Amino acid sequence: MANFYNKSLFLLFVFFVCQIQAQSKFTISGYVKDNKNGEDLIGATVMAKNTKYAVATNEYGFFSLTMPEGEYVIVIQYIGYKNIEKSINLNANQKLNFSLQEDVKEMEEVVITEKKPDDNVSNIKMSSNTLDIKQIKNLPALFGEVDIIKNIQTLPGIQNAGEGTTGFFVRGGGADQNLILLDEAPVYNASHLLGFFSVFNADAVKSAEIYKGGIPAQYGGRLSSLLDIRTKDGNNKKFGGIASIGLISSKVSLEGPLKKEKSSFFVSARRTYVDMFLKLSPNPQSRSNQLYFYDINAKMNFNINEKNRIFIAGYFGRDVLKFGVFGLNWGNGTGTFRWNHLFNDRLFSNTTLIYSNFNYGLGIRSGAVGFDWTSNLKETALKQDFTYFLNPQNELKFGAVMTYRTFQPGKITPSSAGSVFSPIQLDQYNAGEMAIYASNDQKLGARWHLQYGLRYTIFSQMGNSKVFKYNGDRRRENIVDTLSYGAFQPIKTYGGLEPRLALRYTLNTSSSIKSSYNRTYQFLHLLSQSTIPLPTAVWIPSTQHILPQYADQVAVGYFKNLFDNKIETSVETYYKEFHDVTDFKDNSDILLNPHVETEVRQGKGWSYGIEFFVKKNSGKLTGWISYTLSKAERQIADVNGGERYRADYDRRHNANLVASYELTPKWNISGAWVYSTGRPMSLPAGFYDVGGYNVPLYTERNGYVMPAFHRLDFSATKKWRSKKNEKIEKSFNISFYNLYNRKNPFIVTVDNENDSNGRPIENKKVINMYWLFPILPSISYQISF
Amino acid sequence: MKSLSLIVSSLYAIFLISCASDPVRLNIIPKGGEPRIVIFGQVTDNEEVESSYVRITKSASFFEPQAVPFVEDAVVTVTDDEGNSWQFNYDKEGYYKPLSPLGLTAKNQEIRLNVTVGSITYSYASKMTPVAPGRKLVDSLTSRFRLETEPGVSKDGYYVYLWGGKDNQTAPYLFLRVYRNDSLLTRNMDDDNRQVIFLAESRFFQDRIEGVELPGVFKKDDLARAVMLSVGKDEYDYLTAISNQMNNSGGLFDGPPANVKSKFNNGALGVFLVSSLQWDSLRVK
Repeated sequence: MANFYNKSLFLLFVFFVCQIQAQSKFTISGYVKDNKNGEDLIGATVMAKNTKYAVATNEYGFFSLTMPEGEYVIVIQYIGYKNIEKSINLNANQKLNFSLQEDVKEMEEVVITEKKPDDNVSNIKMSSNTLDIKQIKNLPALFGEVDIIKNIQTLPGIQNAGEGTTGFFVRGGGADQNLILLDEAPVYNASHLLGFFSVFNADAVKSAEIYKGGIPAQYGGRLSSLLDIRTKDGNNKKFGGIASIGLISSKVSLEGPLKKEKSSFFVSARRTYVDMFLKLSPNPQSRSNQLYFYDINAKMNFNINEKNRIFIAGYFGRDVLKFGVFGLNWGNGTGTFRWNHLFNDRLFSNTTLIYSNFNYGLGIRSGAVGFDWTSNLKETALKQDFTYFLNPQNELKFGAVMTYRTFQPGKITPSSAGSVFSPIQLDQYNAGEMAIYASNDQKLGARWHLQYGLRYTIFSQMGNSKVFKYNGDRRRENIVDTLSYGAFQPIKTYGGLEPRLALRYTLNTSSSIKSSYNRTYQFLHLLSQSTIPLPTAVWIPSTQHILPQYADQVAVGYFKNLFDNKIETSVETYYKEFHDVTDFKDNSDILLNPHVETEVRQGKGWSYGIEFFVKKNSGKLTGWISYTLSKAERQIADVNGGERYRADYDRRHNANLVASYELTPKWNISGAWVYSTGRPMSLPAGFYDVGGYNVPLYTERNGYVMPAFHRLDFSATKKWRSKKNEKIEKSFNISFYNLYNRKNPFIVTVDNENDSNGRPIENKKVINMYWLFPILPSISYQISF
Repeated sequence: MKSLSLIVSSLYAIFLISCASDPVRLNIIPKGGEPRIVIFGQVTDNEEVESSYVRITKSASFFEPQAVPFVEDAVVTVTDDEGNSWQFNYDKEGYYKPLSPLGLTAKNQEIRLNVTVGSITYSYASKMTPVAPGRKLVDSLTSRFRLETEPGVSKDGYYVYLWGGKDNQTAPYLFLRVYRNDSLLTRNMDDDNRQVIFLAESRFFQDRIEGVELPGVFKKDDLARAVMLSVGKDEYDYLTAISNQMNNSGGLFDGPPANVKSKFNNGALGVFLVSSLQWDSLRVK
C-alpha cells in the first residue's frame, strides 16, 4: 500500500511537470533592491503591464520572467515604495536590475510592508505569516525589549509557553517541533535570560516569516513549523547605524559599504546589564550574583559580478547566570556561508554551508560537592538549492542537503580536588542526514494555482557509539548485549518520504480558497521533562530504539480582502496527526542516564482547530485580530496509565488584538491585548505517607486548567529630527506591560499552609497561583543615522 | 546526583518567584477517589540503631487537614528464602513491630512481606544488598560552626559533615537518613517548603566521600545521627520517583506530575526496604 502511495505521488509529479511546454521565448532577469540602502526586496512584484505575466522576487531579491517576443511595459511594485515602469523591447534575453525608492507620502500613512496588495488572496501560501519588523518596533514590549518571537505568539494557531516566555507551540506541536532558522542556520535554543527574551535582536532582523503548515519542500526536519529569520545585509551605499538604550539592555548596530554598491557589512551587538544593578545591593551574596546575556550578529555580502554573490553571516550569544555557588551558562553560535550563482537567466542557484553549535554548562563551585557539567550539539550542513524559472506559469525548485550532527548529552568533571563526584561522560551520539527535494509552483489559468513537491530524507545514526540490546521490554535489567560501532559506521538507518501539496482557487479578485497537505519527519528528539524547553534539555537523534517522529497535516482556508485590499481576512481549519511523538514514561529517570531509551515512550498525538484572522495593513490605524479555537491531545504508553490526555500546550481559546495608530507624523501609539484559556495542570487529590515523607496522589494528567491569561500592553513612540534635514533621527518609547495589572498565572503549586512563624503545617495544603509581572513601565531611547 | 535537577529548577524558581508578590490562593478542590492502602516496611541487617518495622496507613485528602488514617487490624508477616518467618504485631500509630529482632545478616537473600487487610493480601519481595565486608560507607561525622555571611550558608549554626566511602559493586544505591535528636530531618532547613530524600548512586561519586554537608542546622549539644541504607534498584527508583513527585511544584520547569508505581500487588502504595545499614552519631560541640 505504501509503495502504491509513493508511486502515485511520483507519477502525479511527473505528470504535472510534463504538462510544461517549452516555447521560444526570451527572459528578463535581475534583482530588485531598496534604492536607499541596497537591501534586497523580497517578494516584490515584477510584471508586464496589461498581461498575465508576473513573478515575485525570491528571498534574495532575484526574479526571472520569461515571455514571448514583443514590446512590454515592465512594472515593479512593492508596497511602501514608488512603482517603477520601464518599456522594453523583448527580442533577446535581458538583465535588468531595479532600485525602488521609498514612497515617503505613503510611508507617512504607515503601510505594513506586505508583498502585494492582494497577497493574502492571490498567493498560494496559507498557514503562514510574515512579520513587519518596522511595525513591531512600535508595539509594546516587556522591559521595552522588542522581541520577534513574542510578536509571533500573537498570531493565530500559535501559543506561548507562559508569561513572558519565548517558547512557542504551533498547532498542537511541541516547542522542539519548530525549526528556527537564522540566515538558514538552525538555532537549537532561541532563549535568552531564562526564556524571557529570544536570541533575535530586532535591530538586526530584516525579515521573519513563520509557516504553521504548507511548509515548502525545501525545508524539513521538524513536525510543526518553520520560522525563517533573515538578518540585514547592510547598506551598500552609505554608512549608518542605530544605537539604543533601554531599561535592561543597550544595543548598537552599524552598517555600510565595504566597496560602494558592491559589498556591505552589518554588525549588531546587544548586552543586558541587570548584573550591574546587583552590584549596588547591600547583600554581599547578591553583589556576587550574575545574570546577563549578550549577543552579536554580523553579516557581509559581496556582489562579485552579475552572476555571483556571496554572503557570510554569523551569530554568537551567551547567557550567564550565577546565584551563590550555582552557575549556569548557555549559548548558540551559528555561521552561514552562502553563494548565489546564476547559471543562466532562468536557473538560480544557492549553495550554503551552515554551522550551528548549542552548548551549556552547569556547575557548583563548592568544595565537596563541586562539579562542572557540560553538554553540546554541533551541526554542519551543506545545502544546494536550485530555482528554475521555466516560464511564468511554472517555477521549479529542487536541491539537496547533507547534515552531520554530533550530540554530547552530558559530561561531568569534579571542579575541585576535594569534590565527591567522579568524572562521567555519556556516550556521544552521531548522526548523518541527507535530503533531496523537488517541487513545482504551477499556475493553471487565472484561478488555479498548484504547488506540489516531494522531499525524501534518509537518516542514519552512526558510530563511534555503543548500542544496548534488550531481551523483552526496554528495561535496564533486560540488557543482554552491548554492541560497539566504529566511527561513521551506520547503526540504524531510517528513510521518510514527505509529500507537500498546496492548492489555491481564486473565487474573484478579492477572495480565494486554499488547501494544503504536509507530511513532515523529525529525526531529533528533545529530552526535556519541563513544559518549556530549558537550556539544560538535551537533544538526541533517532536511534535503534527511538523511532523518527512524523506528522500529517491537512488545512483548508477561505481568504477574503475587503475595502480595496485594505483589510485582509482569513479563516483556516486544520487537522493534524502526530506519529511516534516522544514523551517520558511517568517518573522517568533521564539524568545522565546511559540507557535513556529505557525511559522514552512513543505514541500518537492529535490536534485540530479553527483560526480566524483579520488584518488592517494601511491607513493611520493598522493591526490585527486573531482568534483560535483548538484542541491538542496525546496518547502514549506508560504515560497517564496509557490513557489519552490533554497536551501541555492545549488551550481551548486564544485571542489577540494588536493595534497601532499614527497620531501625528511624530507620534505613534500602540496596544496589544492577549487572552488564552489557562494552561492544563495536574493537581493531587490526596497524599500518603511513605517513611515519614508526604507524597502526592494524583487522579489524571492535566485534568485541571489554570485561570485564564489576559493582559493589555500599551506603548507610545515619538520620532523626530532636531532640524529638518538632520541626518540623525531620534526616537523615544514608553511602554506599559500589563496595563491593568492582571495577576496572570505563571505556575500553580500545592504548598503547605504555614503557621504564624512561617513554618509549614504538616498535611495542610493549599493551592497557590504565582504570578510574575505587575504593571511594568519601561522606556527606551534610540538614535539612528 | 538527583539534586542536580533540583538545583536547575531551583535556580529558575528563585529568580521567577522573586519577581512576583504574594501568591493568589485558588479555590479548587481536586476530586479524590477512595482511600488507598499504603505500606512502608523496612528490615535491616543492623538493628542496633533502627529496628525493623512495617507501617500501614491509608491515603488522605490534601485539602481537609487530617493525619493519615492508621490501619490497626492487619496481619503482617515477613519470610525469607530459608524458610524463616516472623510475625509483626500492631504497636501504635500504624506501626507493626516484631516480637524480637529478626537477626538478618548481610547476605544476598530474598525477603518477602505479606500484609493482609480484610480479605486482601498485599505482597512485596526484595533482596538484601549487603555492603562488602570491611567497606565503610559511614566513617565518621564532624561538625563546624558557620556564619550566614559565608558563601552557601543561609543561617548561623552548627553544620554536620559526613566522611565515608562507597561500594559500587555491592551497594550501588544508597539512601541516607539524618536525625536530629531522634527526629528525622525531611527538609534541608526547618522552614523549607520542599521535602528532601537523600539518595545517591555510587557511580557518580569518588571512592572517598570527604565532608559532605548533611541537612539541617544544629545547636550545641544536639545529637546528630546519619544512617546509610544500601537499597535495591527498584526501591531506589521508587524513592527517587517519590522524591521528584513530592517536590513537583507543577511549574513550567518541573516534570509532569504522576503517581509512583509501587511493586506491591493488589493496588497498595508504598515500598519495602531490605537493607544493609551503617551509621554514626555525633554530639555537636
